[in-house]
Parts: sequence; C-alpha cells; structure tokens
Amino acid sequence: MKKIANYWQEIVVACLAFVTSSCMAWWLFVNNLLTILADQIAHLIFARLTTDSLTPGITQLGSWPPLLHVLMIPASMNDFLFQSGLAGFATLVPIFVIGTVYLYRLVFRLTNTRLFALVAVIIYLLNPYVLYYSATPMMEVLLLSVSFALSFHFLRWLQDDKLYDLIIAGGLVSVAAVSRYEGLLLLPVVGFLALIILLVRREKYLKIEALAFIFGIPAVMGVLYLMTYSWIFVGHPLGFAGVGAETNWVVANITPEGFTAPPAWKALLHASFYMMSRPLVYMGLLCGILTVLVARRRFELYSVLVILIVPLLAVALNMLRWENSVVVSEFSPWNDFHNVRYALTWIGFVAVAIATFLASAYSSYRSYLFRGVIICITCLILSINVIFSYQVIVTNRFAVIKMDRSASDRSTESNIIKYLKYNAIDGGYILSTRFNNDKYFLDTNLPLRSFIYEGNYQYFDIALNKPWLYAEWVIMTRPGSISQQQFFDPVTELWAKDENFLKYYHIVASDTETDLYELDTELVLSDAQYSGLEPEAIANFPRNRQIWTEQELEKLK
Amino acid sequence: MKNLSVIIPIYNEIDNLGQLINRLVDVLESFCNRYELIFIDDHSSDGSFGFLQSASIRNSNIRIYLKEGKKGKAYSLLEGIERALFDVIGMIDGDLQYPPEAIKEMFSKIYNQEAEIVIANRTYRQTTKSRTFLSRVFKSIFGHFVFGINHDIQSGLKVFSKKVFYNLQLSPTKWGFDYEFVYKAVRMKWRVSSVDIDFPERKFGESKVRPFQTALELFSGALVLRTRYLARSFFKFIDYPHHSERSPYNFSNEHDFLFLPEIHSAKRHIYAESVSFFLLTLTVAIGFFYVVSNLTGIPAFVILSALIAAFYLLFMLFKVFIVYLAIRYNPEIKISDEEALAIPEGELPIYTILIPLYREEGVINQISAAMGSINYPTDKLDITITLEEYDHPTINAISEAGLPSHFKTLILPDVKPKTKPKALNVAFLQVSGEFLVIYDAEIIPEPLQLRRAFLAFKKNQDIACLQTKLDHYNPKQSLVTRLFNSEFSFHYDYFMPGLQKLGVPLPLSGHSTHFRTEMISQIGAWDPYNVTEDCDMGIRLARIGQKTGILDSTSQEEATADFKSWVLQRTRWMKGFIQTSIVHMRHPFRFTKEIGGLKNLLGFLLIVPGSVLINVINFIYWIVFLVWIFFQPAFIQELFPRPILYISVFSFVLGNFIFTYLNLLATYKRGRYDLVKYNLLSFIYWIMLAVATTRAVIEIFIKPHHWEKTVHGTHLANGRTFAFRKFFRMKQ
Repeated sequence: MKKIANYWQEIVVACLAFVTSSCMAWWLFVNNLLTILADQIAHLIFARLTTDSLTPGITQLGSWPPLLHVLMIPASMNDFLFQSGLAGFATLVPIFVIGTVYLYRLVFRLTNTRLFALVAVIIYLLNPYVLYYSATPMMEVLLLSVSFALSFHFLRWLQDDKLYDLIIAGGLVSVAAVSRYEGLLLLPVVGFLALIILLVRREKYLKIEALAFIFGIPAVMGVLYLMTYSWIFVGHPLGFAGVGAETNWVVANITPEGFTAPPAWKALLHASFYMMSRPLVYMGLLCGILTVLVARRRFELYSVLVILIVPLLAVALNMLRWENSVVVSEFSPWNDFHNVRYALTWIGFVAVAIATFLASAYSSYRSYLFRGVIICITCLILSINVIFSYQVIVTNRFAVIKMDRSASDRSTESNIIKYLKYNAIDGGYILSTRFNNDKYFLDTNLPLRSFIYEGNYQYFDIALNKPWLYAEWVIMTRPGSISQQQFFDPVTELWAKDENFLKYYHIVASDTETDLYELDTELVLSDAQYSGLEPEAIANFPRNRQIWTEQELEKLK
Repeated sequence: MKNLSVIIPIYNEIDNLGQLINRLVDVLESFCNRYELIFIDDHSSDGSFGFLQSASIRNSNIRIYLKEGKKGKAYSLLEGIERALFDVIGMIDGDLQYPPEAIKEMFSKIYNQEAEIVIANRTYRQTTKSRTFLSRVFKSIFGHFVFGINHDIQSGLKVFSKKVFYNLQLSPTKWGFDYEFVYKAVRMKWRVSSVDIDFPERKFGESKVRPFQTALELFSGALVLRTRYLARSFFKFIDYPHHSERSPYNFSNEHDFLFLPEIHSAKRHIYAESVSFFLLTLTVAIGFFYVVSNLTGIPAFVILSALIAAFYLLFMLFKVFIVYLAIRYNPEIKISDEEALAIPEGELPIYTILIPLYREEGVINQISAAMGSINYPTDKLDITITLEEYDHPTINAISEAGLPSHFKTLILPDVKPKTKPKALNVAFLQVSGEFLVIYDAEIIPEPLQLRRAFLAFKKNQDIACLQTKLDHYNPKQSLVTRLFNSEFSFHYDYFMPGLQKLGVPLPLSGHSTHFRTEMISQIGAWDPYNVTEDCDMGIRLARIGQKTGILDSTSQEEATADFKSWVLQRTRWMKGFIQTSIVHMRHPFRFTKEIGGLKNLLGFLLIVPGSVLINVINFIYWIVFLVWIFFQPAFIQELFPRPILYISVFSFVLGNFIFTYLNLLATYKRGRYDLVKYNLLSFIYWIMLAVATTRAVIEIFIKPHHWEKTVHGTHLANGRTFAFRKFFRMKQ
C-alpha cells in the first residue's frame, strides 16, 4: 500500500485519462460516431478476420502496421464490441491511460514541477480529437502513447545512463513502427540522437558499437517485421511502404496533377489548427522555440521535443508522395476534409513545449507578479482548450471527421445492408472486395466467414473466375461511379458487363455507388445438371459452412 | 570381539524372568567377550519391571527400559534395537518358549560371516493345536509361497548384525515386526540362515497372542506388504531404497574409489528402475497419443509436433523468467575487498585446494603463478595436485618447476575409471581443510576468492557450496572462444543467479566451486563414473536439502579455442548431463520428494535433461527447416498446422531473438564491448551445441564413461595450426 501511495499522482492522472476517455466513448456510442471513418471499420475488420474468416490467421492482419489489429483481436471476437466499434475503446483505453501517465512523468522529469506536468496532461486530455481517437479503433493514440513512453525512457537514459532504459527505448521504437507508419521515422532519428549523445559523452568506439547493437537490435525489429510480412504476403519487402505494383498503379493513375509539397504542408498546418485550435498551435510553436533557446538542460529537452515532433515530420515527408495528402476544406474544391487527424500526431510536442516553457518561466523568477502572470497564461491556455473542446464536441459534433472523404453516415442504413441482413442468412457466400466495401462486412452482422474477398487468396481467385459456382451474392462497385474510377474493383472490372454473369445474377439492392447481385440458384443448378456437374461439387451449395479443403479446391479448378 | 546385545520385549512375564535371565547369562557368558540384556517393558502390571530393576542391580549387563512408544511387541523391539550398543543383536521373547541356548550357535554363524541374519527355526512344537496350525500355515503360505523365504519368518528368536537395520525403513504393525524385517532384509540382499530349535509349551504366565486376532493382523499385514512389493517388482522405480544402499558410504573402497551406493552412480546405466520407468512412460505416451488422436482425429505426429512446440515455448519462458529473477533480485553473494582483507589471519581456517592434473605439463608454471597470487596465508593452504603415475611429462614438469613447499603432490593409484572425479575422490581422503575448492590446471582464480568464500560461508551457515563465476582469459582467440565466452557471460551472470533465486538445484561447474568439506562426506564425495561430476554434485547436494550460493568472484579459465576441442568438451558435458538425468531419475518419486517438490523437479528436468533434449530437437528442427527451405515437402507442412506453426514460429523467432539478445547483454555487462557484435552469430553456436549433444547421445551408448580430455594451454602455443582451426581463428 505504501508503494502504491508513492504513486498517487500517477494514479490520479490515470483515473483522469480513464474517465475522460470512457465518457467520450459513451458519448460517441450514443451518437453513433464510433465508426464513421472507413479506416475505423477497416481496423475492426482486420482484427476480426484473424479469427473469423475463410482463411483466419496471421495472413489477415494486412500490411498496415499491425499492432492495433493484434491488440484488438480479443475484443473484436465479441460480437457486441465488434459491431458497435467499442472493441477499439476496450483495446485502446489501457494504452491511452498508460500513455497519459508517461506524459505526466515525462514532463515532471523535464521540469521537476508536478503542477506543469499536470498542465501538459490537461492540455492533452482536453483535446477532443485525442479523446475521440482514444475511444475509436484508430492508431493515433497508440502512436502518441508509444512516443510518450519512448521519450520518457530515452530521457531517463540520458539522465541516469541506465542500460535498461536504452533497451526499452529500442523496443519502443519497434513498437512505434508497428503502431503507425509515422513511427518508422523514429528509428533513424532516435538512433542518431543516441549516437550524438554518446559522442558528446566521449565514449570509446567499442562501447558505442556495443550500445548500437543493444539499442539497434530491438529497435529494428518492428521494421524487420513489416518488411518480412510484406515480403511474404505482399510479394515485396517494401510493400508496406507503398512500393509495389499496386501502389505504382495508384500513383500513376490517381495522383492529382500539379500536386506539390508546399501547399500540402500548408494544409497540414491548417489541419493542425482544426485538431488543436489555432492559439494552441501558435502557442506550442512559440513555447517550443523559446524553451529550446532558454532551457537549462537543453540537450535533454531537444531530444524529447525531436522525438515528439518526428511523427509530424514523417507526415510532412510523406507528403512528398501522393498518398498522405491532407485535405482541409479551405483548400478543397469539394469543401471536405481528408486525413486531418495526421496533424494530431504532434500534440505531444505542443503539450510538452507549453508545459516546459511555463514551468521554466515559473521557476526562473520568484516574483509573485510574474508567477501570477504565468498562472494566468496557463489558465488562459486551458480555457482556450475547454472552449475548443466544447465547440468540437457539442457545437460541431466532430464535423471535421464527419466531413472526411472516407466518412459515411451511419445513422441511416444502406439498402444493401438491409437486404443482406434479412436475406443472406442461409449461409451463402458473398463475393466482394474489401476495398471500399468494409461497411458491408461490419454492418450486415453476418459471420465474416461468409465473405469471399481478396484476403482469402486462393478462394477469392477461384471464385472470381466463375462467381456463380461459389457466391450466392456479389457486391460490386457500380461501373462508371466515382469509386470505380478512384479504386480498382476487380469484380466490377471482370463481370459488370459480362453476359454470363448477368444471366445468373440480378440486382436486388443498390446504394449510391454499389449494387448487390443475387444468384439465380435454380438456373445454375439446371445448367450444372446439364453439364453433368453434381450440385455437391458446387462450393456454394453445400450450405454447411465447411471451409473448402485443398482437395475440393483442386477439384473445383 | 564377540559382543552381543540381546533384546527381550516383555509384558507380564514375572514368572519366567528369573529363569530366562539365568539361562541367558549362562549361555552368553560362555562365549561372549561383552554382552548386554536389554529388557523393554511394555508397562507390565505384574511387577516385572520391579523384578528386573533388582536383577539389574545384581548384574550390570542388564539394562531395563520402560516402553516409550506405542504398545506392542514390534515397537518394543525397535526401541531395543535403537538402544543396543553392540554390532550384533539378538532378540528373544520373554516367555521362555525359545531356548536361549540356541543363541550361541546363531551368533557363531554371524561371527563367521555365514549370514547377516540367523533365524531360529521352530521344528518341534508343543503349543496349542490352533496356534501350531496357524504358525505352520503362515510359514508355508507366507514364508514359502508369498515371501519366498524358506525360514520361520515369524520366529521370535533371531540374531543379526546391527548394520542390517541401516536404511531398512521398517513400519511394522503390532505383531508384524518379524516378517517385515526378514522380508525387507532379504530384498536388500542380506543373507539369512537358520538354526533348528525345539519350541516347547509355555510353562508360566499367559500367552499374549490371541490366535485368530493376531493371525488376522499377520495375514493382512503380510498381504499388504507383499502386494506393495509386488507392485514395486513391476515398477522398480517406486521401489527404494535399493539394496546397494544397505550400507553407509564406503570410503574405504580402493577398487574404483566409488564411495556412493551404485544406484546413485553412473557406473552402470541400465537398471531395472530406469527400464521400468522408461517402459511405463513410453506406454503412457503411446496411450496418450492413441487416445488423443482418436478423440480429436488429429494424427499422432501432429500431436507430437504440438507437444514439441509447447515444450519449446515453455523452455523459452522458463529461461526468460530465470533471467528476470537474476536481473530483478541479483541474488549473488557479494563480499567487498575491504571485508575480505579485514579478516584476521588467525581467523582463517585451513583451505584445501585440489588440482587434478593430467597431461598438463604446459601450464605448470601458470598453476604455480595462479596459486601464488591467492591472498591467503600459505601455512593455511592445503594444496594437493593429483597426478597419474604414467603421466611422466607432467610429473617431470612439476619436478622441474620446483613448486613451493605448501604444494603436495599425490600420485593416483592405477585403477579405473580414469576420470577427474576419481582423482578428486582419492585426494579427498587426505584433505585437511575445513573448506575445499577445486581448480583446474588452467584456472586463474581471483586473488581474494578464498577469503570471500570463507566469509560468505561464515555469513550464510545454511549454504553448503559456493559457485563462483567463470570467465575466459582468451576470449579473442577465435570465433569459438568469442561465442563460448558469451555463453559463459549469460550462464554465470544471468542463468545461475536466476536459478539460485528460484531455489531450484544448481548444476555446478567443475572447478572454482567451494564446498564445506563435511558436506562432501555427507553426500559420498564425487561419482567417479559421471563425466560431469560437477552437475551431479549440485543435484545431490540439493537432494539432501543443502543450498548452493553464487559468489560474486570470478575465476579466469581458458576457453577451448577450436571447433574440434570445443565439440569434444561439450560432448562430455552433455554426456554427463544425460548420465546425471539417468541416475537421478531412477527413483523419480523419491527424487521429487528429496529435491523439494514438483517445482524443483520441473527445474531439474528443464535444466539437465531439458538442455539435452532441446539441443537434440534443435538439431532435428534445423534439418527440417533447411529441408523446408530447399524442398518444401508436403509432410513438413502437415506437421505444422496453423496453431502449431504459430507457436513454433513464435518460439523460433522470439526465442532466437531473446537468447541472442541476452547473450549480447551479458557480454556487455562484463565489459567485453568488442565481443558484443559476435553474439549475432549465436545461431552458429547453437548448431555446434546441437552437434555436440547429438554426439553425446550416441556416445552414451558406445563409450559412456570415456573422459575426453580437454587440451589446455593452446593460448600459450605458437606455431602451426590445423586448417580448420585457421578457419575458426580470427585476428586478435
């Protein structure tokens, strides 16, 4: 008990984080806002598919950084948590709590002031988007928490020179890499910082070399995993980073003409305003610069701030390519948003910079007047944060997220979902690509083993060849729609205008850009009989939900 | 000397006592140099005790005791045996139905070493018909048929050597002493003989035997005993103590210097105990695979694959947990330089150092220098160097070196086995130190090590043995030495301290291990047939409940520098691990009990046989892995269905990573920064381990006791090397 009592501040911070995140989760659940982004649904489905799929297992994790998916597996196995999206909250809340405690301890270690450590925590916890992403199945909070932990251990290694912290820091670099793509940049940056520190300490070459191995081995594990996975399952070791045939095709066909980095970075700055409020962003930048200039233990602070801003730098660097384009309404012809959340990745920098600057100023001058001014500024910052949160949550109800290009209105159910919910309960397989159709996987409440999609490799390939032998339902992007122009749907490409396909299938429900086709079973059976094919040989018809065996697959070919 | 203790259990025998004493005294005085009559009175109510008291005043050879334990003849006899002073014991009932005069002839059979137990065979009976009938039935059915003993096993007159009782472990019923004693003694291979006697009717007093009640007790007791032993005959591994344990350690054995009972030695590997345990395990395993395979429909080989995957995972987690304990608690015993140097010289005890040498002529000067550097008064050092009489180069080198006067040399008798533990056993008979340490020829101990060890023993009275840490002074000699050094760093800095914290038995090292000398006596010294006597020693210490501590003091030794020497040395180590496993698992239940329960058993299984098994499986799996990489046969895919594949891949990837990394950390911790990077080649070392272990498994069948001599002094040698050595050696 005495040991626990020594950590009462941390316990208070943890409770604050838990309560705020829980309240937000409840609010989002009530308002049907937990799964409005395509990515949220995709993450949920990735996790669920590892256990509920025609081909369950590691192959379903996908080439995205897999940590969230792996962590979410247990929660996603529960139907309620999966379908409501609360699996994300159940998975992320402990990570969020730990991350917040790390932030507190980090600022406390930097400033030696509990008050301003708490200020950093409040800035963080009052941000509506931080809370939003702590309650929904997204990776942002995961990376933020990891970067706080990494900063803390790296700082402690700097200060106390304990090998343990360097090893943990190495491990966390890997964890960051499998948390979000932005985490990948931490490997060279933290490695470089560590090298500089060792050189400044005038350590011998052999010791630096040994420490490089000790830090480097755990640190590269994340990247190694991503590369190995990509190599095995995508066919290219850098497939995860968008190097490969598919990405090349997308870049060649979809990248907007005239796309250049400076306007993208401008969009990123504006996205930061949306995510953290304009005053806080300016205040963060100002405090960061001033603190770096006046702080006593500069190198320690530099290191922490560099680590915390690395994810933003990674986003900015990625913007030199097409895929991480951040869109804000000011610069969008359609008045919409896209990937604005990327700008949230440097909220740690902002919170730490403001808190350390205020703490530094507070402790530098003992005048009551000056300290009063500092306290007033602190209160002002926090008030701005409160107002900002109120606007985002209550007034706008996360309009920025709802207006995202990949967002969909979940309040009204689609026709396809309605139809499948009531008619696809007989166990027939559904052929569909996952790209752009994830919502049907989630909202139809059907077992994911019913779907034949690109992640089922051999099943998908064979079903795509002659859908009528394998799939009772086909979900297809409508030819000529915007989605079909933007995203490649092989089902549409192959069958939308095929006579054979249209002979066996007919449209039974439609959404804005998608159609649902149902199979004419009688016709297939009579044709099969005519061709001398036994009904049992047709994979779709033995409705016993057995996974096709290798022999069956071979036979069906 | 003809000395005899006669035990007479009595209960209300006042009418017989006078005549009994007179007849006994007459007969004993006729042939004994010294004798004693021990009467155990079971709280008689007829004044027997008072009568005996007055008799004892008249005859000083009469000793009387009022019973202390449970009521019944059997317990009286046990109390009497405990109190007997002489090496030969007689027992006779107090009812005068057995003629005391027969004792003389019975004693002479013991004295002439014809047998260790002599039973009076009742040939002519004058008792009641019912008792005669029951006795005959008991003798014929139980004596002959059930127990297979052609003597009157229920006879109340016996003479036997006291040594028979060592380790006999009797737990008789009220009347069940005789048959249990004789039967168990026979099972321990003691010789039984008999003398025919008349068995007349009781003249005075009442018989305490209620024929049917007593018979029932005897029959049931005998049946239970026999049934129990019948099961033990089938499952020998539950039958202990073994007959080789019927005597205490034989420190006078100069035949092969094995002081231990053979059942605790690797002298012979195949015992009924091991075979029965192996067969039972095999049967259970086959049954398990059959049942599980039938119930689940999973092929047996897939189940085996799953079990191996689970074993891998368990082994990995166990090692990680051990390392965690070492890092978290660091249980090493630390004695500072100041403390060690502050011990007054007068307080320091005599310390024995044993240095077994064989073909070590190259390092004699190094030994002299290393021993000379030890900070300990030379007059309190008892340094004994053992030498084989035909090892002339080393003997000559020692003569030429002119070692200081406190060094003693001991030429070993030319008897087999030619092993280091045999040399230690020979030397042990002459040690004079309170503490003892073994140093190999090439060892350079830390100068304050003896002082630290003494203080550590003094501070930790519950510790019987101290394991110091080992390091190499030639780690940069070749790639092999680099990897070997990393292994040692991990073993001594993380693994051993972790094991100590967990409280499981420690597999000791062959040298730089310090003992309380009396503890070596208590465990029967070393097993000369075990080629890793050190590991065996650690386990045997644990079996008698003794603790081993890790002392924070490092001895420097030479790492085997080339692949061949390394494999030879490691083959011996692994062979010794197999021997140790076989020896200690002869009585698995007993072992579990003695070693301190299931936790320690599991620890032992994972550390000793587990290390061997994991290396052999490694060898097989590396081959499977390579075959899969190059040929991808379907049967391998069938061996690893998805969950098993995940566990196996997890263990493979994470296990390789963790152990490579831990080696790396251990090397860093020892400040050998330049070696850190070589740990990335740990997988080569594991393949080498797999090769050596597989070799050991083969060698255990071919030449189980062969001691592969490790060549020392290669770091001192200059000149030509073999081509493969060149391959492994790297620029320093």
